[in-house]
Amino acid sequence: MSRRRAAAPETPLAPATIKLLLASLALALTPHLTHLPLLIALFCLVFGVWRLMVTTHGWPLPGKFIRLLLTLLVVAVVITTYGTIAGPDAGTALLAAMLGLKLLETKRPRDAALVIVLGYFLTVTYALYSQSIPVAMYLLVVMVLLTATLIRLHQGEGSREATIWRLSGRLFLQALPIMVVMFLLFPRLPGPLWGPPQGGSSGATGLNDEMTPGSISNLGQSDAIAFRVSFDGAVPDNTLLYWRGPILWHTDGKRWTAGAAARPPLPAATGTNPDLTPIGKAVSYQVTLEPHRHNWLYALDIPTTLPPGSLRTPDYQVLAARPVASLMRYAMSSHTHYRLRGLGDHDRRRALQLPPASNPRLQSLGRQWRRELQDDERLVQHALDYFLNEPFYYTLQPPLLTGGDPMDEFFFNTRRGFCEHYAASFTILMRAAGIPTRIVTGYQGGEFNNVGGYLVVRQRDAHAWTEVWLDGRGWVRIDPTAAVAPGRIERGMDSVLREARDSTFSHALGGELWRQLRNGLDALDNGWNQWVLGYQASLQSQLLSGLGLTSWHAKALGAAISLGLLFSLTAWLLLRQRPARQDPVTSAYRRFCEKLARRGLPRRPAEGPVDYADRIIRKRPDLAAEVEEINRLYIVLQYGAPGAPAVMRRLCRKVKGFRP
Amino acid sequence: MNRSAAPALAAEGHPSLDKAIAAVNDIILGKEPVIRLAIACMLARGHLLLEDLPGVGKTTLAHVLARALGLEFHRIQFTSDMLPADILGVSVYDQEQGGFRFHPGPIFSQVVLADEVNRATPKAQSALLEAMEEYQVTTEGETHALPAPFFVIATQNPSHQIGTFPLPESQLDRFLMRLRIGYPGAAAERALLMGSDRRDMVRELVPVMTAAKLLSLQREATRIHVSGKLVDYVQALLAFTRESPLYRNGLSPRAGLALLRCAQAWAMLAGRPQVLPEDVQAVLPAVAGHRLQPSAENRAQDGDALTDTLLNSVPVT
Repeated sequence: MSRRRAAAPETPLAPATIKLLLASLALALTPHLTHLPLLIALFCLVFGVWRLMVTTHGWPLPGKFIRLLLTLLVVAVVITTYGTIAGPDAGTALLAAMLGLKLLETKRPRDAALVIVLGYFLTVTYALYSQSIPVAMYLLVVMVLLTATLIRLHQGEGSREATIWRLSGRLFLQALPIMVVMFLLFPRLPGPLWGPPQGGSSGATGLNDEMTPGSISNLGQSDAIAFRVSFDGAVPDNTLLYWRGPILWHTDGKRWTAGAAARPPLPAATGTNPDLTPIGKAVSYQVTLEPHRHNWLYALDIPTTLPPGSLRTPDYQVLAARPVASLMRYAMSSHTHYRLRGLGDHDRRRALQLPPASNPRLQSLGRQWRRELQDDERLVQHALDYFLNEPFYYTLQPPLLTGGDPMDEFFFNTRRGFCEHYAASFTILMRAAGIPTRIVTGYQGGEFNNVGGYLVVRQRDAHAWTEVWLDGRGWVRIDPTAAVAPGRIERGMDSVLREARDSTFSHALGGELWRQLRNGLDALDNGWNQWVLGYQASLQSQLLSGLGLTSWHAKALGAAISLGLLFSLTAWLLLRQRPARQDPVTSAYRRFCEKLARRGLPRRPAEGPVDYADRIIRKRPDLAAEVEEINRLYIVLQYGAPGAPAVMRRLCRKVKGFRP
Repeated sequence: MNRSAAPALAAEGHPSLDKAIAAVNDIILGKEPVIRLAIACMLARGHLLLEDLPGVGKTTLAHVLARALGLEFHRIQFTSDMLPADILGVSVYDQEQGGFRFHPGPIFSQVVLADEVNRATPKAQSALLEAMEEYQVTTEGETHALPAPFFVIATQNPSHQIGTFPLPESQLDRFLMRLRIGYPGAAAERALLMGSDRRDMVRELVPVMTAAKLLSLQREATRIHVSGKLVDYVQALLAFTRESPLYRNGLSPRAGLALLRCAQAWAMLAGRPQVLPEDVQAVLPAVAGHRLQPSAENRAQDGDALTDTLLNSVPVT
């Protein structure tokens, strides 16, 4: 091949090579169309078609001046779109456009080789946007295609199609073990240097750190996965699965926000809180969190063991050190039964805060209840009974509340709403009655995937509930929605939704089968998330420690040794003397001889087939017919003029059926 | 190793050649393997060296072969005072025609029996051997073609006998085969002793073939199929003689060619369309025996043992 390469710069590109090159580049570019500016995509298309016309219709390639002009134009488009030429989005757009431009000066194999290398790079950049299984497979296919183009480029006109593809596939398979070792051992540094870029364009859905009743109803319909949880022991009852997220203290009557933090969050390592009295055993679990670009991590109720590097706020919210921009895997343990005491004056004020003028009817109802009932616990129960007995309806399509006092409107007029409405109106009632109350947002429940043995929590499981301060008991979780629609809590959002859309496609298709299929696919996706995408610094060091490599030096040594072994193995495989592969005739005859050898009649090495057969027949006249037939066929095939494949098959069949 | 002369699995043979063998076999009793090899040698267009003690029937064999195959036969008795002209012929001045006329010597015959070739001086020997190689005779600037087919059957007494000039190795190589006849078996010898005079029998022998037929059979023999696998085996044999310390020199490429040609003829005698390793094994002692010498460290083995070791050491794959 090296001889041809030396001659290559002089030879022009074959039209077939150009076509293959354009096709593979088009496939490399296709996934990028999801995020490329329309103008850049159009540029790429035009450049590609232009180059194709040069080959097929003899169009001229553009001159230096036009190329310079186009370059400036492309850069201008990128800068006006993104404001920069750096960063992943602008960089990818620039790369795609420049690749297209390079096609317009690709005349010789050397240019084409450069274009292919750029094509590899363009393919890899899509991994910045998605790393799912189908995307990874697609990118690998494009890689094989680009490699085939490269092979074709170097083999020239005389290359056979089948050879190219086989060689490309073989190169890919040979690269696989190296890829696996590099994947496992290449040093992974925690932090943005190695991770996908932050603030990319992939959609960040999820909870917000504020709520205005109505904003969660959009989420309620979303099947997107928020996180997955695998429990070390049994999965707790659905009514205990409250995944706590942001805690909302402050309201202006419409919007609820976290408000100014009372105290800074504490490092996770800080000792136990004297105010907390856990009851019963802790639940241990691992969460694989989809990126949501906020700091908070979801935990079941009151977390006691936190992932390293995370922080805990005084109101027991868990925060990551950086916004979760890539898939994150963490282990935790929580108490679902607990007693939490200690309410400072500042927190009490925050938990009772109400704008005096807002929702006046609710506030006066709360004050009225306070006058009727002295005991806090009975007051809370009274409110819940009220929700249960009055005609309140749980619905995912509540009427819009546009008035100045939306909660008054909901509570006294429409009476149709979901968790946010109930949590917000309940909190206003409690605060008006003088009971410190806060809203907790997060997720409730989840769907158990029996294939993968883990719980899937989707965006539609988003929920809002409250915690009230009861003297003597501390913070107690109260879910007013449960009073209105107990099914929402006991069975989970899934069943509520299913009732809502009874005749949907999935249901019509035979619910259980469809469910199992979906569970299986999700389990596959989860495995990919856990072990491939989630393979970050901590998991790597865990793996290496498992191999006894704990210190930095040992790890580096381990990596070097494994790579060395791998390369030695490769070199050995490439350089070893391959034993001459036996042709089918010889191996069939060898099998025949082996069968006879097992009967105590081995062939002497220097014995020809006729002498051997004579000897066998003298010793075992019963085998004469079979041995003569096999010998005749063997002689015809091995020593006769090239014969028909039928004779070959006959010999194999005869030898197979030969039972001495 | 028991190398049977006629492989059992291909007993059909070749009709006209079988007849020739039978005819020779009637006179030279109990020597069928030697006869087959001699005929194979002639089918492969090779010259034959018969090496044995006087009186075992070398001359008779040569004569019978020529007679049975319908070939013209001349016998030259080699002596130590023989000159090349005695073999090749001389140009004599012809007064009637006013010029020199070539009188062909005894070599101008289809079968030439060079009896006791090692009694002659090297000078006389070389005249014969050049004719064998070139198939033509050149004297005094004139070239005369020899008849076709042309065979030399040389007989030789074992070289340690007194008064002989043993053929040098390079000359031995000109002979495609060297055969030894050996004493006849008891029954064959009894039949010989009790039977009629061999010379009369030769004279009465009716040829079973013609020279033209023999030439076409020779052409046919070259078309016997030699597969790549068989060439592998022959090459393995050649390589063994070159690498093993048993031999002074390995077999030459010419020896390899000779081996293949003889094996083809042998396969043809057996009536087979392809050459088998057995064919190579059957002809190898006769083809390679006079071409292999034991090395200095291997004085113990003589010619037959050398070829047996060769055949037993190289596996048939």
